[in-house]
Amino acid sequence: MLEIKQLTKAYGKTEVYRGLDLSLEEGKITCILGESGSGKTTLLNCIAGLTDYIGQITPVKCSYVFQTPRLVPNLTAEQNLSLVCRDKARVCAMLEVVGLGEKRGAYPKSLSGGQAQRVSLARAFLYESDALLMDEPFSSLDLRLKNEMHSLFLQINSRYRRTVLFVTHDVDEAVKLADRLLVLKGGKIVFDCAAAAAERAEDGFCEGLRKRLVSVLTEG
Amino acid sequence: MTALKNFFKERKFNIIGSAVAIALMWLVWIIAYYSVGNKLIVPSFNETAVCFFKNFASTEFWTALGGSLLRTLLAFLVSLLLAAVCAAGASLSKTVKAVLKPVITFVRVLPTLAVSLIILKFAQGDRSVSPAIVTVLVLFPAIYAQLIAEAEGLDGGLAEMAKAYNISRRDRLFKIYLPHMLPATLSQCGANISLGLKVTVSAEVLVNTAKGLGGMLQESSLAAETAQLAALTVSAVIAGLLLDIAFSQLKRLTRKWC
Repeated sequence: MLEIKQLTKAYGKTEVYRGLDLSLEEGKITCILGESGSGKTTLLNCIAGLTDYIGQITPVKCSYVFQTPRLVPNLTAEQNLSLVCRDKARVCAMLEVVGLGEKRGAYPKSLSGGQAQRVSLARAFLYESDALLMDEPFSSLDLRLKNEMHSLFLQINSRYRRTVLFVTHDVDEAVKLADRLLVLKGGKIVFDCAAAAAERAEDGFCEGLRKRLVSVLTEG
Repeated sequence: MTALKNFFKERKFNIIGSAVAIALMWLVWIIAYYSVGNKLIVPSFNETAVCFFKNFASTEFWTALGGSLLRTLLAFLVSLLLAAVCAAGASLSKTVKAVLKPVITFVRVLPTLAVSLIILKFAQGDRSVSPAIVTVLVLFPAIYAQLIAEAEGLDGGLAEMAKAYNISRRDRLFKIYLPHMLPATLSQCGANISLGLKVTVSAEVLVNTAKGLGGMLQESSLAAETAQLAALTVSAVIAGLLLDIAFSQLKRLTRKWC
């Protein structure tokens, strides 16, 4: 289980977190919602060790799917994945899973935005990590592609069952993907709701949840 | 035939521009020759042209040209290797970068032609070594600065990704940093090599290198053979231009991913 205790982080005089506590259940998808500047990305960066902080975070090996694919431009799709996994068979298999088997020799400049993000997703699952951090990974995609990526992500994650921390500002996306929903505001968690698959299947549950989330996000 | 036509069509403005520039330089030469009226100071274009073409039949000329080019290329390769190693170290370690900074500055400001004479003494009169060393002293800091600028221009997102995924230093260096630096480095190759030739020939003039264009220039100057001096200078310029053009094509190697 990933535990965050008394997390405190500031950029100069601007305080992002003061004494934040959070526990993430293993194998579950936790979505964090929040407005721009609420500290969502900072939280992921603290967990990934990309920024310094005060407090305690369980040391975990993380995969990270960024907002942009961040593929190495001089390496092919296959070579990009080989940076995190030396097993060529697994790399090729994963490229097939994300529907890019024929693009293994393609350089990032010849991949579309959606294809590049698929490679980024493949990289995250190939890397043997304890936690998967996702920072608004599908925000730049159009609706159709976004839905495809959601399905792909859920399909792959059902196999790997990673502990996922998914950051987004899209309420619909959060309701669709999350086992647990958190809203971040002013460096604090102001809403915490676990929504099991069975509950989500009930009529009106998602719509009700959605309305509650919008209300929390928009109130002053 | 079509390929040739397309070649000229694509480069129409460059070719016209170059032709106009050459014509202007020729005109300036003619005006200078007639204005000065002393062929010991400004040789005639015709005599220079005769010397230029006569040199092609001279073994001494080709030996000298070959010697200068070999020194230049060796100095360039040494500079590139040294700069790459230093830039790699500096991009992976702030300590290395801090230590290198004053060293690079020192090498850059060193008066190279004075160093040329000092090296001559250490090399016990061997006049072929010091021009190459001087060229390294000029090219190494310039190439290092280019590589460091490229390394620092690396997308911060890629550096973050490499850190997040614990990508090994070796992979970061050989698969991310060095390939990132490669396109700009290759495109600067031509300019660096032609600068190198210029420095090599200058140093050869100073120490009177026997098998070198600089040595031939020095001899012509001492013998007051101004037409030959001009012809050799033109040869050096053309050699530099051809090197610049040839090595600038190396950047095509990175076309796949750029």
